[in-house]
Amino acid sequence: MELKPIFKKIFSYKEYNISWWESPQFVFLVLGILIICTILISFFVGRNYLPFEYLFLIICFITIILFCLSYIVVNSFQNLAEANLMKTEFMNIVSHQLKSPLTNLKWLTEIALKEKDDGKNVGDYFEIIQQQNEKMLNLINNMLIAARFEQNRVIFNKEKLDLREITEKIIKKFRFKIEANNTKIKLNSPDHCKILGDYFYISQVIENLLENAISYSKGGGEVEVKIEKKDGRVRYSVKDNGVGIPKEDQNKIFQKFYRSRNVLKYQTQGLGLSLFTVKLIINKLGGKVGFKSKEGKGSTFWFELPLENNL
Amino acid sequence: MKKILFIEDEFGLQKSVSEFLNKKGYKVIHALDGELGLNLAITESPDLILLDLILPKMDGFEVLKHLKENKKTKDIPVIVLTNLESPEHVEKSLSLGATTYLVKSDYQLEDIYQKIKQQIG
Repeated sequence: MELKPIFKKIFSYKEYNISWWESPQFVFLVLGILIICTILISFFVGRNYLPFEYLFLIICFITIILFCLSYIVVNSFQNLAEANLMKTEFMNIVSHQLKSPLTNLKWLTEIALKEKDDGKNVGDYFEIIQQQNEKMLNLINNMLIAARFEQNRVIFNKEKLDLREITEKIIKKFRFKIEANNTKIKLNSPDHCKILGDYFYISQVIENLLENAISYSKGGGEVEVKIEKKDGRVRYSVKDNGVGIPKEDQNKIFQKFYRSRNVLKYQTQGLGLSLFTVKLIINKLGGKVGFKSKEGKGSTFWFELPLENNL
Repeated sequence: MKKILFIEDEFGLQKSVSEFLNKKGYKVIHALDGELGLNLAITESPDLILLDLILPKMDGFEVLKHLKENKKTKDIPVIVLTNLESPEHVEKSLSLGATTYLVKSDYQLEDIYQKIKQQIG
């Protein structure tokens, strides 16, 4: 029997950044000693009053109950320690994701102030500053949406929204990213396509789908946004010719914090929350969401919602 | 004109640093991933390399290792410019041959320029 994994398990509390006496292993040891003591005391006291058979049954019963309780307590400790570790890791990842745009804001402001002192035009810098700001907002919005859904605190406004109009606004917002990736964007939509929905949440859905398509397109790639009206419903799809999703990762793609191995190779930024929030929002609005993808060929993500005049 | 290779996958950061260094009189060439960065280091022979650690396709440590193993690139000074700040990352980078380790958010562009100037003038 290999001893290394057992020792690793015993000393695993070090990974949780807690002291030894707070660790689930220590709690398990203390509870074990308590159970043994309880059994011995029950036996030595009880043998003066009860026949051996009754005493044996009672002690077995108490032992089982104590073991069940200990198991629950130790497991809860373990879960708490793990949750604490996950929280720390999550904070590390989020801080790192926010540090890039914040550093860029700091540097752009430094350049803009210097240029301003030299009497030069600094308009361009403000556009990049705005773009970095939007990037941070998008990240925070995805986290907020996921948290709101988990706490069941989501309230949708019902307003008339034009999907084409929102898409055009978002494409405009991404113009620097589109330019940097050398991506061609095609919008294929009727003049107006109205649904009833909440502007914030629907914009977040479109923004997440478009941002993914642009980010994971190879340099010089193409992204096609298609809006179609069919049988009282609207189908919104975003197609890219990017890196695609490996078959074995496809069933996990809408999971929280999931990022496909393939995607990690091409894009280091991202929390793995964007598709998770897309699914939550569209399902809550009574719609459907799906995708088809082939590794190396690209992906098409889509959602369907009822048209406004059908509601 | 001295040539700097900047290996960084964040387009915004790449743009601001390049613009700043161009104005200081350096020629800046970019790579958005580690693989491309390594190729450019071999073909372009820059005077200095600014290297991020979290990169697509090949991470910064791997790039650094290959740079120091290649005869053509082993003498090029490499400044690691990253937002990772744990002592293990610093230690690993320096042991692989990085000249300096800078945490992006701790420095102004002017400070980075001074560090570059110390290396290549």
